[in-house]
Amino acid sequence: AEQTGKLPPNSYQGLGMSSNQPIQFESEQLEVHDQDKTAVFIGHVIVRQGETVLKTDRLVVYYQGSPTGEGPQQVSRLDAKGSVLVTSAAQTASGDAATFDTAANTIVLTGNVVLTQGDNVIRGSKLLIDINTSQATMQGGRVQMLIAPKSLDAKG
Amino acid sequence: MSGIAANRAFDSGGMEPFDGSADRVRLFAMAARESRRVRRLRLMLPALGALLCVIVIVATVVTRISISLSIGDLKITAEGLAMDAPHLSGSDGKGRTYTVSAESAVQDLSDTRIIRLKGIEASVIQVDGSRANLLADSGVYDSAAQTVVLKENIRLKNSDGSGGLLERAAIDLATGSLTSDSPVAFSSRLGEISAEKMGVEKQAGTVTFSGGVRMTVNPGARSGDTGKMPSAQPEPSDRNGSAPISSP
Repeated sequence: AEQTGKLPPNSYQGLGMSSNQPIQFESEQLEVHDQDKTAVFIGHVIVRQGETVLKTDRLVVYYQGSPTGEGPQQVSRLDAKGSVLVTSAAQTASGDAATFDTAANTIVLTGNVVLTQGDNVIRGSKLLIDINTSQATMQGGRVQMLIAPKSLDAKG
Repeated sequence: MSGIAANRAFDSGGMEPFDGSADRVRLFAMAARESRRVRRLRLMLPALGALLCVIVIVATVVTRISISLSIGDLKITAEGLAMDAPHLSGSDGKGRTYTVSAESAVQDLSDTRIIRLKGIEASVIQVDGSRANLLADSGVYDSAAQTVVLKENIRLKNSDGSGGLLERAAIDLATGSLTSDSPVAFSSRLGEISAEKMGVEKQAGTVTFSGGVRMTVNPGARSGDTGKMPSAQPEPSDRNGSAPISSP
């Protein structure tokens, strides 16, 4: 069963996907492995950019170029693992793991995913968010959708 | 008669033996041999000196590290042998040149392997001309353990505008690793990072920040972009070591 819903425009713009605002990272520990070009944030990881906040236990950032700043700086992918929570404006999405692909501009959440907007709750096993089209597609297993009655009347 | 002329006079060919008695001839021949040996020695010594020089030069060329060490005046103080303004410079043969200087260096008399340094300044110039400068108010060099522990107000400034502030840094000269157990802060035009502790393992190519890390990345800043620069030089007034986080 596939449940597709329209997200409010430019939600999830954050996390370095397409906006130029500074991204703030906080964690207990950070390991930069220059040989395989990864930076691993460990322990209460919080990433903030503009309206979007990502919380997770562990975040691996794949980058190109050198960490000290010479050469082009490119973050190609972020892999979050462990109690992932992505909040943006009125939306929150949670799951066991998430992958942010900055090239394809998509976020994929997996593992008992819950997407809430106001009182509406959608559950599923995999949520694909396409930032360009603001399209969110919940896939897999029994997609449960809980629409709070009053939210239907309020908005047309 | 100058030495050389006198020597030739002794040369056996140039003198007739006295009244031909055998022992006098023998005596004379021995003296001549003696003088030849002396002459050979006199020639050999300068040659030996020259040889030594060549060896030294070959040694430095072979190790390709030309080290020049100049020291101001040398005096014995209470704590030990004090050297004024030692200055060490050299190149690592791969085109990188480095200079290390200090306002003073005191060698501990009780343990001569320990040298206490004041007002340290080190700079490394890469092949591409980019330059990294490290300044520290004080440090201790342990020649046995091959470590340098820098203390107080360590500032890193690189020619590309990036910089860093540390309060302590222990450098293992053998493995090239560096650890700091007190706050560190680094910034470059792409962002800033601050943490309570830091460790650099050069061989493994890993840098570990721990004890609470905060980092800001400006995706907008391309490498060549000289737009709004985060505080490239963290203001020394920021004593708690954490670089200011630019609010979005």
